[in-house]
Amino acid sequence: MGTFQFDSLVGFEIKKMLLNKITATMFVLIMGFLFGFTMLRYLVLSPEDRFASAKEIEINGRVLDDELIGEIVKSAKDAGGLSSITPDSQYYYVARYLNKAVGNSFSNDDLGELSEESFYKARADFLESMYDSFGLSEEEKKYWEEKESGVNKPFVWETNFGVSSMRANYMAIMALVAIILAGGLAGTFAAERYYRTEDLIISTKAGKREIALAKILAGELFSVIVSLLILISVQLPHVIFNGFDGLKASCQIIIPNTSHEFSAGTLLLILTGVYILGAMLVGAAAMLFSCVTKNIIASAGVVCFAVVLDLFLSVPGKYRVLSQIRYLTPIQVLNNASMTDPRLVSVGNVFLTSYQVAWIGYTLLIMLFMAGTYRHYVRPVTRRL
Amino acid sequence: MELKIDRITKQYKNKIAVDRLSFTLGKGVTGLLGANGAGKTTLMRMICGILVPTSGDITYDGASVSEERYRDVLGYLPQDFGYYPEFSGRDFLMYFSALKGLDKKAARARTEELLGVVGLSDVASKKIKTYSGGMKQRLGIAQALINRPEVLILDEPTAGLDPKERVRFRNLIEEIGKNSIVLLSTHIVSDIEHIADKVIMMRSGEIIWQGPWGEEDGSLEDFYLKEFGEEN
Repeated sequence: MGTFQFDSLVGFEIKKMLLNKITATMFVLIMGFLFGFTMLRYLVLSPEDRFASAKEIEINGRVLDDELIGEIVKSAKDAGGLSSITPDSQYYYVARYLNKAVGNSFSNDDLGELSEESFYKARADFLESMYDSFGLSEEEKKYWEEKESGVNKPFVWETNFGVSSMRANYMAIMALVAIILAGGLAGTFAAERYYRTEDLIISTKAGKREIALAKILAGELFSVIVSLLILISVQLPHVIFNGFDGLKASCQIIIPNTSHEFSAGTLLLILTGVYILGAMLVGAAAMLFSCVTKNIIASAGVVCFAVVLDLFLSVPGKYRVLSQIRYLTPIQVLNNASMTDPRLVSVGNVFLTSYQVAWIGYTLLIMLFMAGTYRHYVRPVTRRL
Repeated sequence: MELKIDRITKQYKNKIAVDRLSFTLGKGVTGLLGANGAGKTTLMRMICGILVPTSGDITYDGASVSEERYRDVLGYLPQDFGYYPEFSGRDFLMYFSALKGLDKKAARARTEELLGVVGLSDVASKKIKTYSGGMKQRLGIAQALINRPEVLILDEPTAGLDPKERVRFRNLIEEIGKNSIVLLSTHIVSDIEHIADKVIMMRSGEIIWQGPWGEEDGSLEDFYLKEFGEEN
């Protein structure tokens, strides 16, 4: 196999994808809508819902210890409760954070008991109850307890409008990207049958092998480019208005009930990686269906159906394996709920978190799907077409 | 320069589409005549390496049709010529230049040359979906010629061409046949009567007659009608 015009072949395959008017229109509309809608949210929301106030910024970098918690409690008592502190207070967001971190367990009557010790104790109790609600085994609990012991406490407070807003977007845009990729890549192989160009292209010097590789590479590049452009369109307004506010905060400031030891910035990088791999996985699946069915509508339909199913299907937690698999799909694993799924996957003696499973599992599945597509495409044709 | 078809058979379940065909082609134009369903397209798809025969071998100067070095010298125009409607004529030929291994500079030069040869220079930038049937067919012929093929397989190439285009096309094929192996299938006898050095007639997957055809042999059309009278 030569590499003589391989870059040109990949370029032409991407051109075919971009010339699909339905996909191109859908892509532009979704990108424009996401950017416009996010910008609009910033423009119509009141300032306290958009930015950290100058007062709030003053407490940035302060440790969530007895001194700061004492100040928050005092402010809460004056206001009538943690959730009653008004936006003009410098403690508005940190108070809401405290409340969320302990599962809203401090009522107004308990405020006097809120201290550094009781806060971290309540958080530990909340983690324990969460482990039980997810049905974790003793080994899994031990894993998280060891992780938790590595988390620096007391936490350091940072305002985090930018990073928190960015983190919340991944799940929704993954669903939209999956729909765009279903439309854009369903024709990768099937369109050659539809346009009756298959015989023409496979009888050229490039042959099936080089064409298959060019198509697969083009499809994966298309997946990465589409997912990145959609991500940028929705994250750019947050960066414009809030910069990278909260990037250096610990992960616990963004997701209170997690024991991951990394920073909020690292969390965003991990989510971005999972998101891009998820898009590549959807792209690889769409191409596999396209190659096997040689039917554009069927290929796009299967992927779109899977997206809808993933968004609305509910699997009770008692069916642990099924519900855990469902949580590991490209959309669900980016869930922006306040807590992350603590259920682990055991590989030999090693436990993997959902993000680790996504990184490794998606990479393996992408390779598997690509290999399946390649093998199916290059097989000799012995039957009537 | 020798394309050897050796006892080639293609069977689909209980139907034999091509039945133990053997012949050898050298430089020149060979006309493949036969009614619809005679097995011409199946034979051509096997010669192009698209379809795997049930049995038998096809080789070009010792190379199997599945090899890159064979595809490198092959030009093919299928009966049902497909195209990308949103591509321009120029894009289409540039794409096939890439598929046929031409570098970008050579691809540009060859594309412009062929657009001129088939009379599409004026509409080269327009989308193929706006082309007439004859223009599309001429584009198909151009793509088959991009790599200056040593083996040119043309399946019903004159379909959709008007009489003037048909004459121009015949002259082009005759010229190419001087240095290449050209196999041209048709059920229109006049397409090959004046340019074919050799004629192969097929019926029900079998060769019923093959040999050179010259003016001294009389009217090919009469002979063809005699052989296929009941089918045409």
